[in-house]
Amino acid sequence: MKKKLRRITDTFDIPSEIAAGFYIELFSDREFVFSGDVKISKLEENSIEIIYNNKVISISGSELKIDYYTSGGIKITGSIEKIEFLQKE
Amino acid sequence: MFLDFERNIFGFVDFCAEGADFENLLNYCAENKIEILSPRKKGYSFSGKIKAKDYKKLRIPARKAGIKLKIIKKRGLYFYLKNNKSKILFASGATVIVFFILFMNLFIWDIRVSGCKNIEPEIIIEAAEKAGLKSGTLKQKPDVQLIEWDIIKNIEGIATAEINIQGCRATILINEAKEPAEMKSDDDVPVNIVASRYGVIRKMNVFDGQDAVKIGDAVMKGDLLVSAVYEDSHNKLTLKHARANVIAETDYCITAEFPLEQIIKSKGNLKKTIYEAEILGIDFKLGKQITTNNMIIEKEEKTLYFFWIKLPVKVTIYRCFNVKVNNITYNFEQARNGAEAILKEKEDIELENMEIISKTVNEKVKNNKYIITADYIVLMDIAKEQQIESDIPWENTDDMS
Repeated sequence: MKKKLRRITDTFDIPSEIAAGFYIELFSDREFVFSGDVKISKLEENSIEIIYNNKVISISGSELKIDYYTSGGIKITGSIEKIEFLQKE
Repeated sequence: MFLDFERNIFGFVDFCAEGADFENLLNYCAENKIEILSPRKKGYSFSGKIKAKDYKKLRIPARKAGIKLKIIKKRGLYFYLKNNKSKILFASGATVIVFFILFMNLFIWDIRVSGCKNIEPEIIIEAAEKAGLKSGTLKQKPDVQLIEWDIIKNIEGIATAEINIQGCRATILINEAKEPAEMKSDDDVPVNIVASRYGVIRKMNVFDGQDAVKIGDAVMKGDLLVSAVYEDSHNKLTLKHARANVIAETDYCITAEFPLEQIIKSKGNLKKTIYEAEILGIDFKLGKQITTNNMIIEKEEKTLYFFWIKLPVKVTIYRCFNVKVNNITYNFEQARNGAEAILKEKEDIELENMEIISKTVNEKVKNNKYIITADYIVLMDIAKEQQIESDIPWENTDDMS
């Protein structure tokens, strides 16, 4: 199903955020902006994990802090070292 | 930026939380649109900022998550105003007073008159008020020149009027007109001297003209006493402005009446006091108004002062008294004394320039009045000028006199 959806979006050149339901913006290694319905699963000084559609996105770095967090998205600032897409356990 | 403004106006709190499950609290806030700013976690401590009104909403979910909340600092205008209530009240009061003074400074509150000698200042103020200059007038409003002209035009005897406005005071400088020198216009015409009433002439001082009677002559009213036609040693006739004092013995009568019964209306008990206040030129009637017919009213005006500063507040007090009617009945002796007092007053006025030779007094009671009739034989000046018209050459002797 997901493969089919990806093929359709590729064929019709539909923006991927419409198909995926979220998008991520990364400004250098200082700002991480996630737009979409998200939840925080882990909040630490050096790592923040957010959950979207049973997928976990882990942001690691130092001096991480949340600039804003609403039902529409989250903005994390600090020195970002690593962004990982993990499968929810 | 707008959000910052909103937060600063309505206030926000810095809080810290202790516990473990902060993530759930953050998720709860995101779902319920409760905005937490700068959320940070250090070990088992969590801190952030939240709108003052949203802080209460955090309590229940925090309790459920086993988190203990604590306010660190309250920020924003709302809390500033709340904490500094007395200072702000003082500052706002001072500001209001300053603006009030500045506002009041736009008006004229005090009108003074100077330079009046014969004219009452109240008349000038009344004329100025009619022309548009009164207490409470906006400084920019009155046309000063027009008011000056109105004052000069409406009040006789004013040469110049000048209005100076300084601060809240208008000073009207009046320069009264000097009375013109008396013109002896009557000297420009030839006149005879005739008798103003009958009598026997006892003394004559003829300054100009030809005497037509002599001492001891009896004359009737209108008889010629000194003629304007003068015949000189060369039998030449000329007309003159006759001048003379002619003292004659004549009679004079004065009657004085005093009623035996009198109705005197006097001030009774105070029935009502009515207050009126004029604040900033606007009249306010205080208390219940009553009809003041058949009452004696005393008016008292008070201007309020703040130390020596005249305030634009004028209080008028009307004291209404009942009318007390007194019926007084005098006996003959009292009525006689009253009539005599009136007679004395009349004598002093009417016989001021006369010499009394004899006086006969008759007393009677008529129409419930005590009447004293005094008949006098007096010496008085009976000379009266009477203008004549003639073809004889007129000689004006004024230049010579």
